[in-house]
Amino acid sequence: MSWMDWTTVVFVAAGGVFFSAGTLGLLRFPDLFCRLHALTKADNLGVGLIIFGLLFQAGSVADGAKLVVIWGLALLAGSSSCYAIGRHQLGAEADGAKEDNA
Amino acid sequence: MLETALDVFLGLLILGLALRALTVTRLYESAIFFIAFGLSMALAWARLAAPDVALAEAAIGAGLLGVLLIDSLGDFREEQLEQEGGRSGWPEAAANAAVLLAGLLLAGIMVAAVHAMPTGEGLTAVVAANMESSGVEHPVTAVLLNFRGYDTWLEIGVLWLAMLAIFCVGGFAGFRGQADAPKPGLVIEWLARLLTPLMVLAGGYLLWLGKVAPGGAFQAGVVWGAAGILLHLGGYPMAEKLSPRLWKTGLAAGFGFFLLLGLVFMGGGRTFLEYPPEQAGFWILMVETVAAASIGFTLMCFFIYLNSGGGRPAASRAAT
Repeated sequence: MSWMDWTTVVFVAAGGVFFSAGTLGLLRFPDLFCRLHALTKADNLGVGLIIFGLLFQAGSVADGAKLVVIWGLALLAGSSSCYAIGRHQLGAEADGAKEDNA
Repeated sequence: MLETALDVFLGLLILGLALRALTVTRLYESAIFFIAFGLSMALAWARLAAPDVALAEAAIGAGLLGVLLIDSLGDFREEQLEQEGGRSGWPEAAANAAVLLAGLLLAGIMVAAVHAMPTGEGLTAVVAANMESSGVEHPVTAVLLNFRGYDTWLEIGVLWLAMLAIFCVGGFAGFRGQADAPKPGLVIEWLARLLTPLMVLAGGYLLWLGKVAPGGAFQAGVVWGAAGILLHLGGYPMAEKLSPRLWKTGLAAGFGFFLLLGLVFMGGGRTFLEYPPEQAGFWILMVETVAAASIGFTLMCFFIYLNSGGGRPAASRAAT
């Protein structure tokens, strides 16, 4: 294996570690916000490291650019959905607090 | 060896996910397992070297259907979300025996089907021999839009029929955005604005790609439909922004255009849905474009209609 292949192995494995940690966090963390934190870490760094590793296997500049675009879109979608879920939860908690006071 | 291990693992994973989706008691978990099941199925199709099916399964089976399922769950009250057991009224032993019998029968049919599969190349050689006259270069598109265009036409018809069935329950007048819908927030509004042009572009790319590679009307239609759903959720009420006439035309266009074209060529002395070989490429692109737009309209309509409560029975709407 060339040094390019080894670089891929190291970075994809590192990405895998973040995905495993994110999954563990999703299953074990106590509340929604902690779980969101774990999930978005897996999305951002996990996908980022895997894509960076795969860049060394891309056959052409165009293929590499597509991989980077996928990472960008995953970042955008991941953080936006995290925001939407968190916002919904905050709204629900505010509603609950209002009912408790009434 | 490693590949076989991967395939065996994938097969077991699919069976396990299917079993969990059917047996968990919370409907929400059931929906999540169903989405995971759909994604694993897409992987399996990719492993079977059928990227066309994999794309469709991931987009429709896991993506859109998952969104519809989770959205529908929002219409239930908390206590209704537990699956009620023993509703069938059958004695337990009889129910178990029936399930066992049905399972054995199904397993027998599957074993027989595998044995009955042609050992040769099937129709691959026939398709390859006729690719010249199909008007496209990707064999899957040639089969779907030309050689077996009839099947694809009826598939679009099934989608249309499903939409009509939903309208039968709630009426077209019920198809309106929620007036009191909560504001989605700036982030989601901007996400919708940012991603919509990209999704329109990606759908068009998939549509164009169908001529030479995996892609085509269904995949493009799902991406366009998803763009519409994102706009709807991003505070742009598609149900109200587009006129009812445009909606009705869009919903019926795919099935109608296919039918019209088939009849026109029939009038020219050909069989139904048989294109003149020298113009086949052009007409296939036309049919696919109209079909993709229509599929996008239909899938968007499914979601918006159910999301805005139009499909709910009046009693449950009054209760909430």
